[in-house]
Amino acid sequence: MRKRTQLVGFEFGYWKHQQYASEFLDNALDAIEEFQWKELQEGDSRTQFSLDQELTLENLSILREAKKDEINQPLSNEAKFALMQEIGHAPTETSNVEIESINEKEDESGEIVDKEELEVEEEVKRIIEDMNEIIKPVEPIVDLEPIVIIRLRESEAATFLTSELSQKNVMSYTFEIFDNGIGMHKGDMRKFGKYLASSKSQELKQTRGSQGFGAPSAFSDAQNTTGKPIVAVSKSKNTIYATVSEFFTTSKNEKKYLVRPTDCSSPFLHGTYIKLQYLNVKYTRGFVDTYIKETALLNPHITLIFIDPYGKEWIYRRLVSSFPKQPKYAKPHPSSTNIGDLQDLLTKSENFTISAFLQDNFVRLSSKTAKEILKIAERNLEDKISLMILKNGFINKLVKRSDLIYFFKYETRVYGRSTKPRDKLIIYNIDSEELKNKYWESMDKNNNFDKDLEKLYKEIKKHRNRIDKSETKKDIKKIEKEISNLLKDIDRIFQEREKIKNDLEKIFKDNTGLKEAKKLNNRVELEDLINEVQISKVKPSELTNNQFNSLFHAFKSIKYMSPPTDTAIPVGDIVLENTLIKEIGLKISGNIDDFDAPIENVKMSFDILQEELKRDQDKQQHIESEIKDITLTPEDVKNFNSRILVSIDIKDQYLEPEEFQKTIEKKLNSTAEIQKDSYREVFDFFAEIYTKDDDFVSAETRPPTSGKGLAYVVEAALAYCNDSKKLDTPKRSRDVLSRFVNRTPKLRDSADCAITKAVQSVNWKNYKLDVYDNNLPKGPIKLLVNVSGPYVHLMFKSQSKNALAEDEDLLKEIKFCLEAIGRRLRVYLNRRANIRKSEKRAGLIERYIPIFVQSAYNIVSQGEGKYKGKISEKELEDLMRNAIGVKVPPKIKEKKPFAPEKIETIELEPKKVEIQWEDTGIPKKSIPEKIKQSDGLLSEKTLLNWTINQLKEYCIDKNISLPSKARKSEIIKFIQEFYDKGKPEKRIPLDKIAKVPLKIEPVPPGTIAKKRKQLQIAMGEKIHQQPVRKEPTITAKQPKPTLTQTQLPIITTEKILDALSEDWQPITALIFKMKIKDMMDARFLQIKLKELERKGLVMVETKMGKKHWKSK
Amino acid sequence: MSSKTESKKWNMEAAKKLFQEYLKKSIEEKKKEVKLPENTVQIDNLNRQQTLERIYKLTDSLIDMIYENGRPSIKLPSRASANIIWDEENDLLLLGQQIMEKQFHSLGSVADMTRLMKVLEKVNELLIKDMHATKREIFYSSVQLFGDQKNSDKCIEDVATMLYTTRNSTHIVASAKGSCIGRLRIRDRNDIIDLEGLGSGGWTISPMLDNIEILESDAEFILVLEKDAAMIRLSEARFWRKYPCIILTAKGAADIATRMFLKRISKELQLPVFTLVDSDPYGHYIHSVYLRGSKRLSYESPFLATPDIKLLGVLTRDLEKYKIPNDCTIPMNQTDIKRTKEMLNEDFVKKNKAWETDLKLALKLKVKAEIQALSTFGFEFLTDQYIPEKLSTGDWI
Repeated sequence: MRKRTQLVGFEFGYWKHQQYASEFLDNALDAIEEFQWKELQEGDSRTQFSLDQELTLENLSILREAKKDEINQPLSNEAKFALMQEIGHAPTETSNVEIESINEKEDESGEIVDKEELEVEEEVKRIIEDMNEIIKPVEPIVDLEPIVIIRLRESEAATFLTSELSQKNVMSYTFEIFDNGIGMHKGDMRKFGKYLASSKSQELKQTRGSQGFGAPSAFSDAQNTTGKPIVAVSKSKNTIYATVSEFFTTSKNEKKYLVRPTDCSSPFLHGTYIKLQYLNVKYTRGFVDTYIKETALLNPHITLIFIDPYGKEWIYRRLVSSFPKQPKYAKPHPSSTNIGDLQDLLTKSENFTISAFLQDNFVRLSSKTAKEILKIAERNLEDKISLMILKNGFINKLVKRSDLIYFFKYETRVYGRSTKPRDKLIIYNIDSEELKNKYWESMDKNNNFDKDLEKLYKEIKKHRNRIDKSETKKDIKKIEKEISNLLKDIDRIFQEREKIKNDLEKIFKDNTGLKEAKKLNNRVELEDLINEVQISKVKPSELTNNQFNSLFHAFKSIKYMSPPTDTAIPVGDIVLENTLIKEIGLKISGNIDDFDAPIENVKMSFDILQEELKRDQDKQQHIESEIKDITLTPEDVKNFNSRILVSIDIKDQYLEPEEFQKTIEKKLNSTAEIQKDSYREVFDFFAEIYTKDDDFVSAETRPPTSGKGLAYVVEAALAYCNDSKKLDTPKRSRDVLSRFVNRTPKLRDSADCAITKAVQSVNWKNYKLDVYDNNLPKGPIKLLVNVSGPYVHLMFKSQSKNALAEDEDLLKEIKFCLEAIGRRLRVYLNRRANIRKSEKRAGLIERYIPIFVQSAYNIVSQGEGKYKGKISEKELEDLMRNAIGVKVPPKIKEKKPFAPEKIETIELEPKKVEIQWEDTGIPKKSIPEKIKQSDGLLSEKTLLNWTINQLKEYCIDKNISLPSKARKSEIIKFIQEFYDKGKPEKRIPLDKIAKVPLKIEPVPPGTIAKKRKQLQIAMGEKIHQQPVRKEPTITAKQPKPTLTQTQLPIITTEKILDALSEDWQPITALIFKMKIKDMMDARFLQIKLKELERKGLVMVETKMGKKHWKSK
Repeated sequence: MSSKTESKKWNMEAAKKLFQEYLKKSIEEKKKEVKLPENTVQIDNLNRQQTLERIYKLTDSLIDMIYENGRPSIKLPSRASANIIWDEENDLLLLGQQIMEKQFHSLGSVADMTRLMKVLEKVNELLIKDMHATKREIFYSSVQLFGDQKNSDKCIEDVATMLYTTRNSTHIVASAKGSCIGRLRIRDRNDIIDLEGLGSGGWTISPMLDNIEILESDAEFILVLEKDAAMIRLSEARFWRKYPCIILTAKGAADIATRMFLKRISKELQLPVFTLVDSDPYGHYIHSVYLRGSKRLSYESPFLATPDIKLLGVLTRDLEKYKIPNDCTIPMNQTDIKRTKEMLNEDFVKKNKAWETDLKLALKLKVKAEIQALSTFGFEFLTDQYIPEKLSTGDWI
């Protein structure tokens, strides 16, 4: 008997366990997905999985349940009902029906006893009992929840089996798998287990397996090692009974039944159950469990339960509430089709012409390309058969002058028994010398061209060989250029030959000089040749060998468009991120989502409040049934907003409601845009505080690519965990990276795989990650890479489908994907390092505080400053200590856009500490303050943002006379005119411009805040005496952006200027701020910054070799 | 003293002429104040009370900041070399207006801030008690905090700039090593000292110059020597008896006290000042420090520098002129050449053509010589021939 196990390589070893798991688990997942997709297509489906329920499987234990069953009776209907209610599924009508139908089934199944032998009946009963053992505990949810259960049990192998193997630790294993997928009906069941009978190989889609080798090979291995049959139970939604069968597969690819497919009742509506036994070395952890764990990672839409031989249950509950999109059926792309595939398709084809066949069976094959293919094929055939197709007939191509020239032509004649004229192939001999000479003239030319062609082909071949040998890209390019030149020559020759054909056509225009050859010995042969050369008229299924070869040659020699990419369905970056977060238990602030929302809601708070009031009123209406008007004053909105903001507490600091109210009061007159900005800054600040202890997770899904005839999607996810209990730095490099192809984990041959190679090719040190010796990233990280596509089976290195072949495009895609994640990781790690640093700083700074305060206190107590006898050391120390590690909250400063007419002299700016020596009498020279351009001139844009009232106020302020009924645009015009006239007036001495920055500081606790106010007054700060407020602009102290990157950045000068603040920032900060994801965009930003630098709009300084920018 | 040398007495024509000029100029100069350029920081020489007031002002502002947000910070003019400006008009090195901010809540400057505060505390104490302390004493007031004297020295300078005043106003003094001898009478608090009658050692310049009062002098010029050895030679010869002058030396690089004292006497007595240094780049550098201040203490230059000082010798051209034998000169090494080239790059050297020529000559000949090289013509050559001749002929730079 042929050893079929070699087909997929079931060998003794730890991997064999995993192989079993993977073969069947893949099928199970495919079946479940297939079911759900089908149900979804039907639209009004009642049997589809409901995915809204939150699963709580913590208390679920199949083993415990199984034990209970031994004592207790199986759940009665009432118990089931109760359990379902407990889980949160009030039984719907369908489920009631279901229970009833099960009852019915049982009744009906009673009949089987009469028909079948008692032995078989017993066997079936045993099988069902076995099956129920694992299904019972999940019975309440078995039809609602996509679920796969795998159980592996160990038992001592029979001695007669192991002695032969002379291995001590060989055990017998019982493998059971249940899925509630689409199930098989009887017809499918009959095929099940046979090689190449996969239902999935019919259409090429993005599925896990497709050829139909896996399960049959596993079956053979199972029965080869233990001699025990395979049990399969399956039920599809449309049948009442499940089909039970027990069988062996034979070497003839047939099945030998122990239990013929028998109907029986089942606890599930649809699904498949397989049970088999195999021998293998003793089970150890790290293979099957890893496989299942990783499968669960990329298939979060399905609940996975695995019970290992030690009795440990691994439960991976469903984490998402939606299934992935159904991949489209994908026609093969010509570039990825090999000769065998084409042959297969041709023999199966029912098309009448090759052209139709090509267009029907391949993607990216239009009628035009099909024509092209046929033309090339025909040309090829012409050369092979030495016949020329002319428009009005055929002529044979000859080299020797002694050969006879034939001309073939279809003429409508009456021949045979029929009386109607029909097309008949007439063969002519060339009679006249003149014609002969003309023919030879053309033919000689043609033959010369043929020789030239051969030479050219040879040369091209030579060049191709040179490419293989040459090393530098430059050389290769050079040779490629030469080749393309040669190809042009070839094209020219083809054109020339077409001309010759035309000439020949002219020669044989009419029948003059032709003599019909009536009696020919080789007439049939010649007729065959004529048929053969006309490939475009042959049925695809009737191609001759010659024709097929020419066709394939033509098929492959044409350049096609890349295949469409919609056939590749990725898992999705959000799903990946969420799965990793839930699976590892990463600490990612959920609050970050909350922070995203308010930014958008700023404008809406009015509406929210209105709705709220409405709701309240509605309630009241029920009681009092009277209608009130909903009135909302700005005051209410203010209060509402402050309430929201105050409810956010950061550590132990609180925002003072009054403080915020003040801010909002100020902002109330400003435009929505500015309101939004100011809130955003506040929220950014909060977000940063909140997320500083976060772990990192980031996923990237590349847009689908198609190269070399394969469409695929690359995606990757990376988690970085600070908690070593959750995720530690793996000791082995291979544990860092999990490779997936079409959501299927690949555990073996990792070193060989293109994914590994791509990961190694990334310079992880760039992204602040350590690396192992083999250049895989090292750290408390988990890296997932998934390649999805309908044709990935063609991308594997070998039949075992464990390693992807190295393809330049694939490697590049993976690399780009990882680099995108790497960039985000670097930002995260830098930020984390900064936080660490500031923590360290806190300790260091704290040590210095008492010394500093002591010195200051001594000076104050000995001297005659204003604080003499007013301060205590402890108070100062506490104040300073509290400031450690606190990020300076964004100060909502208010800059007056214009200097008021009345001159206020405020000597000291509260923020800037400048020492003034009034007493010394020496003229003090301080740094002249920079004049801000914006102080003087208001651009039209800003003016446009103002309301009419503001503009009017402004004009009154500036003594600009306005007509009483001026429109907004007119007012702006007036203001601008005023500017032009009044420029010299505006040169107000610098030190006289009053600048009262208004600060709202949410931080200080009560007592100190009060004290501070006193101080400010003492210092002569006049907060309330400020002149009429104008458009406030807000500057924030470098609010660091959050980790969310949503919008695609558009890099405009304004945006850059927005991103720049008064602090020095490196380009990385800007990139992050502007949410730039793409390297190209970052480059562009760099260029833009240089441009701005040249124009003098920004300030530049080089710190530690890096350029830093800040706004002017 | 041999009778041979006594026979020839130089008339000191040139030096006297210069002295006259100075006297004339001083009368004019008294009318106009020295104006510093716009873009520099004004440093004031303050008395005790003024300094104290500045300290309190500063402390108050710090406490203000603590009350405001708990984050005190100090702003002081940067003393980086980029911020040092050569004032062409007054021939001084001055501080530019770059301001740096030291924040307490930053890892880089928390230690500096605390040290500054400590120094400020000590300065406060010194001023209140009207006492002086040396840098070393300040360092030992809190060795743990300062760690190294380098740190405390830096802080002492920072405190001075922070208060926009001179080092001397902070009552922290550097231990003076200079000495002075010659025709000068001064009062140190209650003691009247006649510098002519102090034997061969002379008077050690006191760092506490605010206690010194200059009483009278009949000297015609001041001679600054680089080395003590030359000082011994001159004092042994009782040089000032023959040629009325004040001689002082800093025994190497010029310290603050010596420079300040020189500045003081030259200004008060309106005397021309001549330096006699080795003919090597280091000697020239010492001259330049007397001339316009060092870079490190540039902010104090107006109080330390003596802009009109003349370089008497030993000039490179003198080596040829006096035919000093080759075995008395030393060939320049690489560092010497480098230093000379650096000197040539300085603005104030470029402006002084004679000086530039001399340095270029040194670079060409690649030799250097010490003052002692002149002893090759006998020990008396310096006192009896070299100095008087140069002073009489005006052979200086």
